Amino acid sequence: MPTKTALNFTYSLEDRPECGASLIRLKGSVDAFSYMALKTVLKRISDGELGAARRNMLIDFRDVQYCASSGWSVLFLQSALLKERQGRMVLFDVSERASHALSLLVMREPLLQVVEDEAAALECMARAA
Amino acid sequence: MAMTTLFFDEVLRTPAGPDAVRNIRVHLLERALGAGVDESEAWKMAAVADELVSNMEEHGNAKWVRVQAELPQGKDPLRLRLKDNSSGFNLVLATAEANPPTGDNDRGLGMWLIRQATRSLRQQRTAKGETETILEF
Repeated sequence: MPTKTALNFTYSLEDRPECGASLIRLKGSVDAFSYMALKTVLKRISDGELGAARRNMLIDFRDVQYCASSGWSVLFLQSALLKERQGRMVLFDVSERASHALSLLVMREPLLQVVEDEAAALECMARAA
Repeated sequence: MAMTTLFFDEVLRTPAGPDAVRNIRVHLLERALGAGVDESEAWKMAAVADELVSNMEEHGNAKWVRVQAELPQGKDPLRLRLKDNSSGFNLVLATAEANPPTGDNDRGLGMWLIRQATRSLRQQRTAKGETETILEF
């Protein structure tokens, strides 16, 4: 862990029972100093500690300024965990500035689904439900 | 000899903390764009600098790191140069051994990102015993 820690991001949580999903709106930067906090938050949401336990996650990336490789790792890992539980993760509104690092990661297979906006994300979940 | 524009030159004392590390990334991006670097290349360089400096904060034993960015004239590639007084982390080997993300491990992805973003990478020890890392984009 870095010698000093700081939360560079905030989040809000909404329940979307109609598509069996937790909707998480992230704001700020997920970097080497804050990725562990994101990991903890996602795990707690997934485990139902912060609200109803849902097998799917929708993540609003509109206000994410930057996401380092450590942040993407957390999202990939959480997405894989959801998949094991027959759930899924969908990201939407991923800004150009946040998607630069993602485009460099060149995955062999897509580890999470990225769609254009919230409507598309909800539709995507509804189709899968 | 080709002319080169040095558009970024900052020294970070470690441990520097999140704001200082973020400032390196943000200022490097701003100055690269201001110097006329292509947006995609500027983002790559800023992301790579962020990964490297964050790694130094997290794992390294350097007391300082100097970050320089150069834009050569002509067809030579954009260059990022880091110099530090650490005992030396073998970045060349670490990036060569890096693997793409699989979702079953949340560590080491930064090395993969650096490998994907750079055209070349080399490291050397200077006469003063410092570690110099030169990355081209």
